[in-house]
Amino acid sequence: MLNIDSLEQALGFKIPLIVPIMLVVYFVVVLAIGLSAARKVKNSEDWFVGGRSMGPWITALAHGSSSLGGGMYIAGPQYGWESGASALWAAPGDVFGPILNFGIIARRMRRYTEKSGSLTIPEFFGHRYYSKGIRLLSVIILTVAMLISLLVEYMAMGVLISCITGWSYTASLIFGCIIILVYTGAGGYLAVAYTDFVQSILMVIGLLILIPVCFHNIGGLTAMNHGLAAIAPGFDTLWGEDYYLRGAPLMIAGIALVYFIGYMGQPHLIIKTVAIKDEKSIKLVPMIGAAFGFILSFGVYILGMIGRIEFPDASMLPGGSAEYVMPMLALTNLPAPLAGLILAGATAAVMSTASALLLVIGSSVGNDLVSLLRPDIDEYKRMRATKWSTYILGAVSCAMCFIPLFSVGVYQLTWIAWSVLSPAFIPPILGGLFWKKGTREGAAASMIVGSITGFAWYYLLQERTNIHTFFAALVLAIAAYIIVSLLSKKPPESVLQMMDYAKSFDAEDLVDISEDITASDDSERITEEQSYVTDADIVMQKAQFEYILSM
Amino acid sequence: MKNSGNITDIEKTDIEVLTGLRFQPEQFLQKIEKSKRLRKQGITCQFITVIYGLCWILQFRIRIQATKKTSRYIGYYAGFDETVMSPGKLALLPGSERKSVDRRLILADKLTEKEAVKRAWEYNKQGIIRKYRILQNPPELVDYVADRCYKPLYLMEFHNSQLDEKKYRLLDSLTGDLQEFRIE
Repeated sequence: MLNIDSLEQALGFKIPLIVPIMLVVYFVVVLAIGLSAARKVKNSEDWFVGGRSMGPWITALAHGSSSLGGGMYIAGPQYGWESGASALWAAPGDVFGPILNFGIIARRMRRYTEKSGSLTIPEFFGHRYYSKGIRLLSVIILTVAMLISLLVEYMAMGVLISCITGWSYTASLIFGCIIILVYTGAGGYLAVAYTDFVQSILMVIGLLILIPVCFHNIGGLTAMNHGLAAIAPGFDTLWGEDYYLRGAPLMIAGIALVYFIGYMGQPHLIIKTVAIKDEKSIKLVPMIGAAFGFILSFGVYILGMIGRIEFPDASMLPGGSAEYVMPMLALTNLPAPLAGLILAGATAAVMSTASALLLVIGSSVGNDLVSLLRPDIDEYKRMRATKWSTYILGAVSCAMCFIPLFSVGVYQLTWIAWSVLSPAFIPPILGGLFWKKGTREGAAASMIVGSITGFAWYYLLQERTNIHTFFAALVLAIAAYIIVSLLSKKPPESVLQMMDYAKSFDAEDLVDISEDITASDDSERITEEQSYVTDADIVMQKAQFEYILSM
Repeated sequence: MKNSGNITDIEKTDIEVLTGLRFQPEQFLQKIEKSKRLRKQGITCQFITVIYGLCWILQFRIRIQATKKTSRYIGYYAGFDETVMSPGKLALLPGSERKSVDRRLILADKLTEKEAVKRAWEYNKQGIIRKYRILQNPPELVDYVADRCYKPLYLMEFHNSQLDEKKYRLLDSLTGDLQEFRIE
């Protein structure tokens, strides 16, 4: 296990005290934000989806930082280090992911979930596919896959904190988990979104400082290309080492699609579409999200490539692993306070994803599972059950990090979790919103086929077929969804009406001129506090309305 | 406005209509015309007519008890918008003009004067308590003057040619919000 000694041995100097101090300051700030957000939580809707009141900036950045988490900040540079320029195939996915989620899914998802009163993705599945079984199945798949993702984040966080502070891995892991559990459990979605917002800013600042400095130190882009070309033929090209991607379009498609389309199947990201405050805000999110994704995703892979130039041999890295090439670059290229800031940014990335995952797992088990077992449970008890589920599952996943079975490496675990979840959920989410013939049987088939293929293909068939696991699992899951749906009985009329509602336009949301004209003086404004509207129920008599139209 | 009906059927009544309200249907329609998204979706909008919703304009006389022995009296302007059932505070009294309008263009009252005053006071009392922070007793409404004024609400028709669907909304001249309404 990587620790401060191996990091300091690889660095050749002791980590300055200011670095852990920066991290502690960061922890204090995050806790303060999380706990202050917790005070705003008044009901279960606040806890689950932030009262559906999130603005476009918070939504976009929280979406970005939740998706590009520890897996990205640790695994991204590692992938860049190991694969060279071919790693860049994975980058556009993180740029287009938010565009797909908020350009295609968000509007209908928001309308559907608001109308049906769904607070979680399994609850949406349960309503759209008119089946408690589907809700339960989705909870099981979601919980298993996301617990694995959560493990990855926890492990990355434990090692990062341990490396920076010099504490043992166990103490670091438990300390980080407690902080995440405290603010996620107390503040729910609000705490996660606000802390994610701050964390995402820290992540961007970190990369915008680190990349130019590192580029300067290795001699610029040309020097990087020459350096990569010297490591192996094709290493500086998009075809990869020994040009292995040439003639493997399905492999490339898989690498690109895994993050590109994969975004649409991740409940901790899709839930952001449910929580956004109105349809007008949805329009801004893809642009902000894409810009954020562009900086982060290209940034981390390029950082890995730079790392390969600075540390061409694995033996130069702590523990002989490329997982921590980013901390190495920060500590060797920047003054200690800035390196502390960058490493706090890396920890921020891990924590933001971990908290988002934890929230979704806790919500699914607490809200969906408990509601299925006790349908008559009241709101207060349901929320309390969800909070406790969050605490318990967070603690359980923390304990699982110490099981040797799961110590197979951050990147591999991230990959498995992503490949299991996205193919299983993409067809029922998209089909659930856009295809009226999608049935519960089709959704069940898609979830089962997608998750099993996503796991098994990686170990059994990927190398033999040269077809990426994600690509194979997604195609099979879509096929299963369509075929089984066409063979089964069509959904009930109430579901079709809800789909029509989600599709239909709402003039109030599409056009709102109030943003352009701000009242300079409230002298004529009776409704000074719109939030205090008690019952905005305007009633017109039928005869009156007919008379008006006939005028 | 569409072609007018039979003038002899119109029952006129005099009301006080708020003036100086900033939101007008013209600027709203201009905004709609600029929207590429609406054009792409085949959504058009037109102004049908103006409807009137009741707004209570209230002048409160309030007793503030700062200490056991010291009381002060303050004047306070408030309002209650019955259209959206929303209370509020006013910095100044708004202007109004007397107008003769078709009775059927006025939305029905929802509250009595007393109820409107009660709701406006309950809301504004909290603001006064927050403002004065330390008070011996809660502020007390000693007296009030209530005026019935009406705000214009512009009936807008949205037509989606792709779905062949029509929807009606009321453009609020006070807030600029597009309000939904129920037909009974």
